[in-house]
Amino acid sequence: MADDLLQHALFMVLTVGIYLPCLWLFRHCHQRVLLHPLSSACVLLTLVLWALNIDYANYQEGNRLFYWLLGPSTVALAVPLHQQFDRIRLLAQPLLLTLLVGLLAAPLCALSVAWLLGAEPATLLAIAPKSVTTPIALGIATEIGAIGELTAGVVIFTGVVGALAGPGLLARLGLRDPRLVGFTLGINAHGVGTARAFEIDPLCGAFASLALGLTGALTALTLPTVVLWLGQ
Amino acid sequence: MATVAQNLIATGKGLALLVAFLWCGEGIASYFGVPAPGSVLGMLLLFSALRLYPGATPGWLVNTAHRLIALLPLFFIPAGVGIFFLPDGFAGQWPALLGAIILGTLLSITVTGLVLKALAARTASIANDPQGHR
Repeated sequence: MADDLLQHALFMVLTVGIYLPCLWLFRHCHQRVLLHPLSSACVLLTLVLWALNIDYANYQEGNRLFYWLLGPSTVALAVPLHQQFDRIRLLAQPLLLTLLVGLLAAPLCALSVAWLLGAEPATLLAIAPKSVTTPIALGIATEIGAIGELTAGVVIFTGVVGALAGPGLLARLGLRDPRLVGFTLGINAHGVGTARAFEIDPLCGAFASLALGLTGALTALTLPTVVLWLGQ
Repeated sequence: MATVAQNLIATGKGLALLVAFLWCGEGIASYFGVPAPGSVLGMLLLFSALRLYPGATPGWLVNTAHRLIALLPLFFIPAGVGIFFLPDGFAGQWPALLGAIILGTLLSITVTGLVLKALAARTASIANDPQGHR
């Protein structure tokens, strides 16, 4: 028991011990996206786990507190949402229409690319809920009979890709308004994209929070029905 | 010293309130069998409460919320490491998985971004929000 607690504490210290220098490096290198702690810290931690021959399941168990803190942090998104609500309301109509497009586009783009590259049905099922926040995606995965670990990996990686490449890609498309960038990140890159949006600008973050909540809730309500209907 | 203690108490109060809303959300989700997770329901509940609350949002709640949100990337890292430890049996599926994750995500960001840009440009209210233009 005491050994377990010590091991958990050490794994959390390991996560923070790698995260902090990565964050420092990111802030001191003009915030180059490839150096974002979400990519650099994940890669470094993977190398450390491999080098020290640490079982990932053990490491994840030790960091359960961080995973749990995602819960109150998601609830906390209500605060910036409330603070920026008057500015969100101004754009209600385009936001809602885009949300409907995004609900279809996010899974359809991923599924069609995967299908063209020869994905098996089990892989397609795991990919379908990839753009919604991890706990929702895992709930959907259970309902449609997809493999949970695979879905979790795909969801997080999607968030990282969207968070890192999204703002640059949108700028090339002529989209620099922090409200629109935030909403697009929230639809396509869930919590990870929202975390990135808050680094760009608090207003960007508030719009991402809104998209995260709406996309998650609506996908959870519709996707399992659609998949089960298609499966028949 | 007093400020450190005050800070801790303020953060503790904020965290306690957020957890209370999280548990309410989880309770409602499991009782009514709602497929959305408790954290998202908790966020909607707290948002409604803040809309209905007549006074200004308390500073201790605002500060705790912003601190937690700033730490979000850290909380995602242990799960993010899992990408490199996928279950066996998907060795042949790597091209499809990588394609869906990278190409699929960039494609859907492009589609939703362009749609939002076109729709927002037609909304006159965008011009009424000078801070939105950078």
